Amino acid sequence: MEASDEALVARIQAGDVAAFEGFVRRHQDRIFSVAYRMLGNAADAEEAASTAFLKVYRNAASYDSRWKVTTWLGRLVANCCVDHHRRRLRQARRPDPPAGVSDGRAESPEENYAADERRRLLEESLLTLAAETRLVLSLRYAQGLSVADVARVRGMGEEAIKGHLKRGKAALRKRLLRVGLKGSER
Amino acid sequence: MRCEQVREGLRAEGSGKATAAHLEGCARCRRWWQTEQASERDLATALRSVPAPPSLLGRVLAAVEHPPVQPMADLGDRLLIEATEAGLTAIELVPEGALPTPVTGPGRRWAERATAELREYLAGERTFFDLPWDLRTLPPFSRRVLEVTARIPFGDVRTYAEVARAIGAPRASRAVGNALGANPVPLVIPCHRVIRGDGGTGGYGLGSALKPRLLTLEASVSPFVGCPSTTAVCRLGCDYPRSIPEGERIHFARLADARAAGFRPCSICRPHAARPLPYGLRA
Repeated sequence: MEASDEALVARIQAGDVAAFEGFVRRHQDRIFSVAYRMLGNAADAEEAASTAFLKVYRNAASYDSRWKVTTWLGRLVANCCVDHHRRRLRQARRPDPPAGVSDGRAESPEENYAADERRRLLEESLLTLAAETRLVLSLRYAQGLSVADVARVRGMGEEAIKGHLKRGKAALRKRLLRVGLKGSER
Repeated sequence: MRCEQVREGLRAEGSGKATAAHLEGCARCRRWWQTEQASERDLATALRSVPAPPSLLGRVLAAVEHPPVQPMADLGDRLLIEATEAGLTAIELVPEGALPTPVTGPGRRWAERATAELREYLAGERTFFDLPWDLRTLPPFSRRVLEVTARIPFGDVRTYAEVARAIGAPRASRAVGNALGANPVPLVIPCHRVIRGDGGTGGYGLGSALKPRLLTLEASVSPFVGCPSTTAVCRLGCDYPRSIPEGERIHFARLADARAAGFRPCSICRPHAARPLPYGLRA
């Protein structure tokens, strides 16, 4: 039986580094994905994700148990991404070429190429969205939060979140679902 | 119109009783909803498909286990320094916000040099002090303990027991601890480099919280700096390499590394001596 997130956070509050390691292992893929989808390059995403995890460790004492741990974590990573995004607007770091993140699941060169192409399109399309829309989509799909949780994380109403999701999905669909994202990536 | 409304509602991530009833009866909408849900899943899969790089975990854990060195430059403004003509007699910490009174009289030149060097030390830009001290008022045992402690190199540590053995009183670890606790010139005589045999940092005259910070600071600074054109290697803080532009300096963690790379020890700061003699003193 795996320890619950709440139990892990309680142990992290007591300074338990092993519990923290378990916590990072459990959430790192989702949190990195959120940051990567939001920021569009691996270096920035790694920086934002690690800052978010460090906040978990350092601010564990201020964790409010009325929040779900995943929602709290979503808020930490969202804020780190927003900070990063703002800083980057001043410095202008370019997004990675999409081949930078390969999941290694495609087998033949053709499949590889097709997968790369889909990834490139997805990442390109994401970057055309407004930053807030991109963040909301990332939290909803890459982290898997519910609409209500995304609303809490961003401090917005659920209606506003639904609006972002709707606009974001419509834009993505228009650009890439047509070119055969369906049935891919699994 | 009805269908449009239902689809609108479903797209906005909600499905109530009315929409469920409509789907039940309308095959077109049902098919539409199925493709819609499939594309929703695809989107989720597509967005989720970025595994975290392996370096992320290591990076986070390293930051937790070795927190970044907090600058201690602010401490430099709070040091109260006293000195006689022969050398430093006291270094104390005044409470935060208070300003130490400047030294006047014959010891002033030592106090001023100490202030400057301690600031550099706390900023991680100096690894040794070029200062004499005046411990004539201390009992001989304490003086012996402090003289031995003064020779512990930057970045290194010894245990209380090792210092006790070095002064020829192997059973006197506790007395060594007491003598170090009463060290009148902390930092300059690096009593923070003496720790407990079990790895604990032990007490510290300027505050136990400061001791691990000082050790972390020392562990994070490369103590030797080489000048490629003259092939001289100096201690960090020597006046000589300051004229070399930062881009051309070479930092070394160990003197042996510098020697292996063909550098020779500077004759001013004498990095090869256990403790260089202050400029003002002759052997």
